[in-house]
Amino acid sequence: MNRLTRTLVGIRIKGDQSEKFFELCRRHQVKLFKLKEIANNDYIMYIALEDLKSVRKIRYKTKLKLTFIDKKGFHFFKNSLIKKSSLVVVCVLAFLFFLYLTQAIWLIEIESDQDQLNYHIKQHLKDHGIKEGVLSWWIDSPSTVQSRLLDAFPEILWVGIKQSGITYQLEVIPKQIEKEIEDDKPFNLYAQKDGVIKRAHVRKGRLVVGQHEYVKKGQLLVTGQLNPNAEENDEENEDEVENEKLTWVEVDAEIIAETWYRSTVEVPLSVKQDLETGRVYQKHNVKMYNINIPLWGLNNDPFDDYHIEKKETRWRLGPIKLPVVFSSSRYKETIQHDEERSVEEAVEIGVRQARESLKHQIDPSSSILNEKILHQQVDDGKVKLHIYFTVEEDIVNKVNDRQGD
Amino acid sequence: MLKLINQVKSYIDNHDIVNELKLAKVTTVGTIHTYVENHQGIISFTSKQIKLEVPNGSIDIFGKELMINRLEKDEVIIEGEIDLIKLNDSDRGDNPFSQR
Repeated sequence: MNRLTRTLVGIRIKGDQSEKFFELCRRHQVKLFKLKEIANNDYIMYIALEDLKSVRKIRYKTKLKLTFIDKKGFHFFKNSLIKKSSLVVVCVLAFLFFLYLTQAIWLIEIESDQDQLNYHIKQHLKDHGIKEGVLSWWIDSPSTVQSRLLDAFPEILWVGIKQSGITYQLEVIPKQIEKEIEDDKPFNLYAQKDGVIKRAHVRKGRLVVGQHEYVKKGQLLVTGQLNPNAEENDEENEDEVENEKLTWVEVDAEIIAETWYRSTVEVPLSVKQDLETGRVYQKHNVKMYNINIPLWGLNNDPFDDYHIEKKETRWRLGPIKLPVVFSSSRYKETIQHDEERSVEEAVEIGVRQARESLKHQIDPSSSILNEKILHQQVDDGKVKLHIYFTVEEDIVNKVNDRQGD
Repeated sequence: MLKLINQVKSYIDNHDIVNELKLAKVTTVGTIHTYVENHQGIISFTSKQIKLEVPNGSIDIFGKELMINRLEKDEVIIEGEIDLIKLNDSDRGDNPFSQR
């Protein structure tokens, strides 16, 4: 039997029939180990655990006093562990604590030059569960946090998130303050697109176009040259440009004009959509190398139609990547939804779509006055629309160039 | 003569004469370890003397702090400071050196 797995029991026998005991042991094939005389007719020895029964039987045949003194081997080690279960619990707890220490985030570093912004970002992260002492498995992925931060702080241009071990690093690049740009005001304002002037608010400068006038792209709208005659002088005496500069002022104006957009949309008359029913089946797996161990959710095909959202977190011990990947999948049940639209409905949808996409194109301050369907055609199960929009918007081109195009 | 001894030796090796005749075989390692095969039990055991029963006689082992490291049906391993191993043949009398 293997020396390591063998379990030995120490026994002590006392009495004057010890030789008989040895002989009986020999006959019953009981192996004795480390047989020692400690006093006259007083012996200690070790026997294998599985021989214990036969030793007990032998004991009845002799008039020896038999006591157990020592227990060695895995069997008793295991038993003693059960007895000392508090030790085991403490060991497990210590390991869990160690895991927690290594897996949690303990440092949040925000790199940016604005202390106030740093503070606000830190507060925001805290509100969304990213703070010191949180397990890194349970926080959202860096890209989610990134997009959320960009949404929450419009003054941030870009934020880089790096999660390495127990540190969570954010590199914040704030947008440049617009004031600095506004300091350089243009000397001339030009039309950014064709349109009919509706209103003009000129705070500084001289308006050179009238109301309801049709202007083309690139046309001068407001000039910073206050003296109308200076323009001619400027062209004639180019050497005196330096002196002429004195009559130029920075221009600040808003020219609201009516502009036009044309867009084409196609709307299908029948659509196939996957709609979520709201029923979700959760699955949790632990993946080691290529072995997948399901922890929760054993059903392979919970629904007929579904799509899966998968999130995988790799366990780490400091810089070491453990080969254990904890993945949780959400199976979302979907049903296929076929929708047939009438032409009127399709047109309505098309107009709404075009309107939405136009809203993204134009400045938020502008407004869509009306739309007109120029052409409507049903072809190959689709409705094709040409739509014409009238928009009221600011058409000045704020380019810092007094010389024009 | 050497050739003859070698022949006998190889014969013993090949036919395992010890087991065939059921005779005791004693192997010692220095003065610390003795291995006895084909014994038939312990007659007496103290830390100074161990008497083993063997076919056709007995073996006395004298020494200090003797202990039986392993006791099985046919084999016994004795460890300690071994001074003297005395083989007693019942056919020849107690003293193995005496002539009948």
